[in-house]
Amino acid sequence: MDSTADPKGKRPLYQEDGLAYARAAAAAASATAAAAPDEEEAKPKPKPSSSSEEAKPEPEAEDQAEMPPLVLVAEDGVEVSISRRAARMSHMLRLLMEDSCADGPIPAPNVHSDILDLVVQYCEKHGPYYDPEASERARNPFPPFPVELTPTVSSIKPVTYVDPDPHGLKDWDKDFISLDNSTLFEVILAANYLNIEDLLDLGTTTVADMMRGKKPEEIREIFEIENDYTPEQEAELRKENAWAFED
Amino acid sequence: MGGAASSTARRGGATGLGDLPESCIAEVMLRLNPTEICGMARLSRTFRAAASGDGVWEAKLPRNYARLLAAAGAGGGDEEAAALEAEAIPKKEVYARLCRRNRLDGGTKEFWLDKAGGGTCLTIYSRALSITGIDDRRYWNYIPNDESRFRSVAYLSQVWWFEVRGEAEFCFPEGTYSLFFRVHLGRPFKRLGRRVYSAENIHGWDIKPVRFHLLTSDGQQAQYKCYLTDPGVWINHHVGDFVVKNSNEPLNIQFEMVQIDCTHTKGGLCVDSVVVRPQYLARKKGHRNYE
Repeated sequence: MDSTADPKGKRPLYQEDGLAYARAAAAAASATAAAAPDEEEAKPKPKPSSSSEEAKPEPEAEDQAEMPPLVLVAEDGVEVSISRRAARMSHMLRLLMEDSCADGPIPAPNVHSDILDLVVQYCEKHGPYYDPEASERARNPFPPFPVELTPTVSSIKPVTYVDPDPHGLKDWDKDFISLDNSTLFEVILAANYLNIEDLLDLGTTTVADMMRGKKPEEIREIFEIENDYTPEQEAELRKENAWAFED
Repeated sequence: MGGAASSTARRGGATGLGDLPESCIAEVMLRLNPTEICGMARLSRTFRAAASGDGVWEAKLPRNYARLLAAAGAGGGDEEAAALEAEAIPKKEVYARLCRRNRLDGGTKEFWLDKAGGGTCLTIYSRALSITGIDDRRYWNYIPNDESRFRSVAYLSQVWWFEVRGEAEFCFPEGTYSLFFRVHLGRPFKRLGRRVYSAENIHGWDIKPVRFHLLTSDGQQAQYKCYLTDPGVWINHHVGDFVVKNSNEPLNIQFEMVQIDCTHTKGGLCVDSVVVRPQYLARKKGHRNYE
């Protein structure tokens, strides 16, 4: 066990510094693989405070919470830790955990550590409340049109009123996703790579909302899209899609 | 949030929308409505490709689109043949085809998809309705009218027993629908290029109310009654709503508009059609929707 002690010589307690434990475990793994030792000395980057908090084992005693967090390695070599509970939100990480392949560092080669930080922040926030089936149903409601006849609207909330957003996640999401365009796209790319449906949904919905109601010229300007049509192609396209605009 | 270092520090240049793979663009498209998607195709060639993807359009189609296509005449009316036909063409084209006015029953009924929302609309014209006394020219006549898509409406001069009923069996996609009777008090016509109407035959509607009734084959029903007023405009009287939970079974709906108190006559009314719309599309301003 001494080989997992951190370089300062103190054995880190799991509860308080699960991060260092994970790093040390990763360092031990890479030491045996003869990777560069200065990865251990890698700058103690400022971590989002939520991830070390989430490393505490949950009182509900889910098995996963007892296990150490996962370590993701960004494209710039920086390691980012994510608790197992939060990692469930990524389909890719979920599969790795199920196949017990998640004990060592997991590469995220196309994702910069800053973006990875954001993604982990999102997962740590949503992780405790994540229910894969409920989330799937919320993203793909069927039927697409409301099926129940609308009850008479009453301004008095009944006693049994159920708050649709009990954890205030909608507002948090709104704050979280107000990013500059470039960062937003990188978050979408990362969510796509790690297969985090809810984050992908949030990102793409935000982009769709930005596009709605704007003329093509405006959208081209906002998103810096180049118009690569020839005038003939544009005319052909207009004819092809005329059905959507007539009547 | 977003306190991360600027993107230019992270990589060679800022990440643009064009750097997203087509699958991500398709995810964005999925969250736009069909009219918006077709608008997006104009942005660039990559967008045109993403805007034509089957994955996007299949999500916009009603679940039972093969049945609807068969009803529209594809595959000779057979559902399986229509489904095979549908496989061969892009889903975007299937959607466009269903958005056209598709005629049923010799043109006396029409159905189509609402372009923007994808909901199914059905109109049953006066020719498909059972009107008591329609064969007697003293009571009823079909008159030409260009305010009806059918180009003619049933006009009532005078009758004791007023009964207009009808039924339709249709494979409605899942959802909630509203049913209306589209009628007009007075006889519209054109004089010197201006649209006017004649009130000469209007009588009897203020004595007893007209009753509307809706019944579905799975037991849903709705009713409404009112005195007909406001001549000179087409009014859609909202009878009620019904819910379709299973699009695999065709639903049979029956509807009627009656005033059979025979102590008085009534007349001066045009009946155009019975109109079924997805609930989200029907303007809800009480029971009367003026055009």
